[in-house]
Amino acid sequence: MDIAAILPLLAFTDAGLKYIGAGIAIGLGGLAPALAIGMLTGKAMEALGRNPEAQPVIQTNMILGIAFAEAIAIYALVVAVMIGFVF
Amino acid sequence: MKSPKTFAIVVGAVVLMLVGLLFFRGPKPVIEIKAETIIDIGPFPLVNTYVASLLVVIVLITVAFLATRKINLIPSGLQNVVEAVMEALYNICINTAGEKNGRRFFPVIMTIFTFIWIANWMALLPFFNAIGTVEKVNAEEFHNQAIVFSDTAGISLIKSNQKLLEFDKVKITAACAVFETAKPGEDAATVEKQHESCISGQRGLAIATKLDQKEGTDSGAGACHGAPGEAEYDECLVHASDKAIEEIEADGKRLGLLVPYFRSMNTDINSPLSIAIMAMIFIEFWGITTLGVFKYAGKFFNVSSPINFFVGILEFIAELARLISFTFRLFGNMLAGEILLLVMTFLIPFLVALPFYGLETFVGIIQAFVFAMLTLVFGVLAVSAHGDHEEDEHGEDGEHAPAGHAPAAAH
Repeated sequence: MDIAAILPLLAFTDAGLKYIGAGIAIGLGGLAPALAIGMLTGKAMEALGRNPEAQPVIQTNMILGIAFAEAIAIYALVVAVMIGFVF
Repeated sequence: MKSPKTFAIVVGAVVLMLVGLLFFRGPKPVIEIKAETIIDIGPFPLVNTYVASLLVVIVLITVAFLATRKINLIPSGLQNVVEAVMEALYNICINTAGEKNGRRFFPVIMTIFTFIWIANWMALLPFFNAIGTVEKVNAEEFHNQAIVFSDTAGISLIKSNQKLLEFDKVKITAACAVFETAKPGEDAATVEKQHESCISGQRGLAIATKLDQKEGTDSGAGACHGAPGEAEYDECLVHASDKAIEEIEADGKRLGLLVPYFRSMNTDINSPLSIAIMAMIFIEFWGITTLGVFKYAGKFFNVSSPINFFVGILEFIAELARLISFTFRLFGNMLAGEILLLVMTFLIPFLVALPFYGLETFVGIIQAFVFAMLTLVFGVLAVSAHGDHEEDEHGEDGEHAPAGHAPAAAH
């Protein structure tokens, strides 16, 4: 067999690269939201310590903020799942 | 351990998990992103996520009917529960958007919240993703994966310890790559026919060899001689796979994938997208009716200065991006939850999935709340005139609204 006939097969059969790609996608995509959620919660706890009466407002806004940050991780997850199971 | 009782419970839990791990592991979960079609009604496929959303609508209508059947001034029972939920969200609405706009926004916000909330919680009920029909696998109706079901009393059950059969799709396409394009001097139609025959032959081979290995059938695929693409050889392979499938069906088993009747509504990207489109239409509607067409359009197409023009374009893009982020946030969270539960149940069948069920109930209500809140906040942004005094207005709202609302809450 000549090289030209083998090359496309190699490119298609290397399924491992696909999973590495999926792993990198969720690994890096989870990094920034993790930092963001940590920062958000930390600041919210600080605020709570200073002003415990404002607990309901702080908590609601904290959870909303976390949901925003988490959404980024979820996008990465969707991409990773698509790489892993769809393509 | 502090007391013998706690000790016994812990030991019991560990033993239960070990027994599950060793004897009751199901097949590897099959993750399907596209909603499965239950039946085709004319040109429209009836998908399982749509059936689930109809179920949610029925539940909501029933609850609404029961709660409002006889309304008392002093609420009790179901009416009390419904009123408490509505009042909680109503207060948030009023506090964020002010008295006038809050009352306008409330019906839409509440509808979005309850619809998503109930849909997310219903997805945790046991009959979701569990009962359904089996979509069979053979050389023509081929999937990349299949599970062997034991077929007892008309119900298809996944046998514990049953492994998922995975067929190497890449190998199949690679074996038939020669027939993909006609070489010069060959008849295109013949080559295409050869390709089709080759593909079904290779699929047959994949099914027959997997079943021979895992289920101990005698398909006779080894007796076929020839090369892929030869009609006789391919037919022989398809026959072999049919024979193997017949053999396991004679044992009261079925080969295929489960197509559940119910599946969590928001794990299909179409439902979050349609809710998001509806929400965006309402947001634009509120903006236009409050500010007027020209003033509202002026937010996006501003020619007063080059910088404002650019900012307007950015705002327009951000408006479109909201649609995408709305959709993917809900879809991704729900899909991730579903996969998490599936994988946890697969890893250790008993007990371990329980805390994750707790997590999913939390995520379900939080995501519904986030969706509703974002619609509310975007609505407030849409009705407020653009420019510098936007922030002042927010501050005012925040201060005024609780004060204005206090008498209502007191009475």
